[in-house]
Amino acid sequence: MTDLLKVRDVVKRFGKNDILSGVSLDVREGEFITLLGPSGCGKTTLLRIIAGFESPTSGSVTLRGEELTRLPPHKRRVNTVFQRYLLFPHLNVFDNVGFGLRIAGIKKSEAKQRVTEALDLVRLGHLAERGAAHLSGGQAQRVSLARALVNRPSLLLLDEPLSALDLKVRLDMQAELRRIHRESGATFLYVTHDQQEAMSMSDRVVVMRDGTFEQIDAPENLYHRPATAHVARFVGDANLIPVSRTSDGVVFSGTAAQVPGHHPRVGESELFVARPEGVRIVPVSEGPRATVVDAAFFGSVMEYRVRLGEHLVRAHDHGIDSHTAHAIGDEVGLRFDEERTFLLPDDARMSEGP
Amino acid sequence: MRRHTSSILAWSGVFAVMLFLFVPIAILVLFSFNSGASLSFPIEGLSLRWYRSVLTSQVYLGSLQNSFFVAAVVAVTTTVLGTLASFALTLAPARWRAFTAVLFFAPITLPGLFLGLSLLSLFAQVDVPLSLYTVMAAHFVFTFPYFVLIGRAALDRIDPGYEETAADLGASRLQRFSRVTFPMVWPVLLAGSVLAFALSFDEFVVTFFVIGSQSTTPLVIWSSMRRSVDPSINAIASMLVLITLLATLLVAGLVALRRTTRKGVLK
Repeated sequence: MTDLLKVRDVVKRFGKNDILSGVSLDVREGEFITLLGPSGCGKTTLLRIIAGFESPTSGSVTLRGEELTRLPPHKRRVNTVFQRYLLFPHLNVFDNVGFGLRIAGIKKSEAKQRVTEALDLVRLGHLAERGAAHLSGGQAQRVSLARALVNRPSLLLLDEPLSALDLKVRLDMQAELRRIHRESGATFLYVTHDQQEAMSMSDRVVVMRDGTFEQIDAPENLYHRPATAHVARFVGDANLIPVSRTSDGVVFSGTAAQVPGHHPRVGESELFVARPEGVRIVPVSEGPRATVVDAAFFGSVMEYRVRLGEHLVRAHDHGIDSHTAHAIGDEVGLRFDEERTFLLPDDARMSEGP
Repeated sequence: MRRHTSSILAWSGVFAVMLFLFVPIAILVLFSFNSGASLSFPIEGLSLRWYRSVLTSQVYLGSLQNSFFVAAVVAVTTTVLGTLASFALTLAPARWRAFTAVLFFAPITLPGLFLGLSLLSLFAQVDVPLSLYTVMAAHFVFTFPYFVLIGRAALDRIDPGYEETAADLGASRLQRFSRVTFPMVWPVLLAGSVLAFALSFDEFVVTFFVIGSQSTTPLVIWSSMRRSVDPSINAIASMLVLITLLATLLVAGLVALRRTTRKGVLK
């Protein structure tokens, strides 16, 4: 696969604050790549720089080798789907979708065919004559998707397109976006703060934090091999337990319990990272001793919260018969699946909220 | 129970104010159909003689023609220049906007007396002879700021995201204005030009200072009242009320239309 978009050392500074502090990214032709991070991490700013609505303080953006940095938005072969849909209220669905083609001076007969195809792609062919104001949120977002895709952009930018929708519609639209990505063959650059959305749709995810990239990887790798504690915390559920070094090895802080496995030192202060499904409840004799403080049933899984010394640990039990096995207050043992646990340096920063 | 009595009080207050506002107009319209020449009750009978006298009077008809001419030119000029100015102001930096807002407000708050006097001395200084054209220029001084206030408010209320979307879809600045922004605000701009027309049509004080040998309708009414009480003025005033009412209904109708068909235009 070739690189479609190259972002090189992009810095965006507002006053004394670095919104983006020198980020670089290669987007491959045809992929679905997502910028993931909490609000204020700079993901939307980067998207707006690529679209041309803002210019970087320094750095460059090239699309198929063409320098974009100084090009105004209307001259870029990039289209954007916004969170607020922003359908033109004075036009009907058909004319909204056809807007870009009309501006580009495409012949009427060809424009009509392309608009029809785009509406069919988002499965709204039957609403072509409807006024833009008379659509549901999900329909409006499909129209705005068709309005962008009809121009056959080299790159489609999606700025939190699903966050204004209800949960049910949002989940349906996630599947729809995957299908539309497949069928259109376009390259999608998606921005979201919702890790579930990012993980379920993307080929690759860029985890952002405070204007920098923490890790760029496929969703499975982010989950199973997070590069930093921040990624482990932000992507999926994780237990992060501080550990300390003794002459014997590594123990959970404030306990005598050994951390399983052999771990080379990774930093000043270290965190033991375990996904809840990598923590098993076993008889007291078989592992570090803990006390059950809470049990919650989630249908396919039973989640226990157990106290290990001063730390709360979450353990998932997928066994169907064991729902009633452990009551609150029970003394249990813990077993950590060595394949799914590792040590990472603690990167907690003062700026970060809970 | 107390809430009930207080709402009765509030409504009777509103009713009293409405009465105060509309009874004089009703009396004026009533007397315009009076067959007698007196301006006091009882009314002698109903007739259209005062309308006939207005519509056959060269003075009244000529003044109506002048007023229409002045108001039409003022409305068109105000609309064209005001639209451009409102749009330019949305692009201006915030500090500039605050400054110009104060400047635009000044001619509206200034008493017509001062405005008329200062314009008169300006025209005298630069040796422009007084005519209907100086009246148009004078009216423009206060219709323009009104228009810009309305136009700017309308443009400010449009989500800037629409312009961004249009730019994203390839539209140049001019195309964004003609295909997106203008179609969204034209009803408001039309309301602004109707207001400019109405303001110019019945303006008296400023006109009085800067008019030449010709006359507009408000000036004719005033001068005919000075000589004697001519009941024709009831008829012409009623006609003015009717014209103003129709213009207002037109604007209200357009605004209502926009509300129902353009849901979601505004933020």
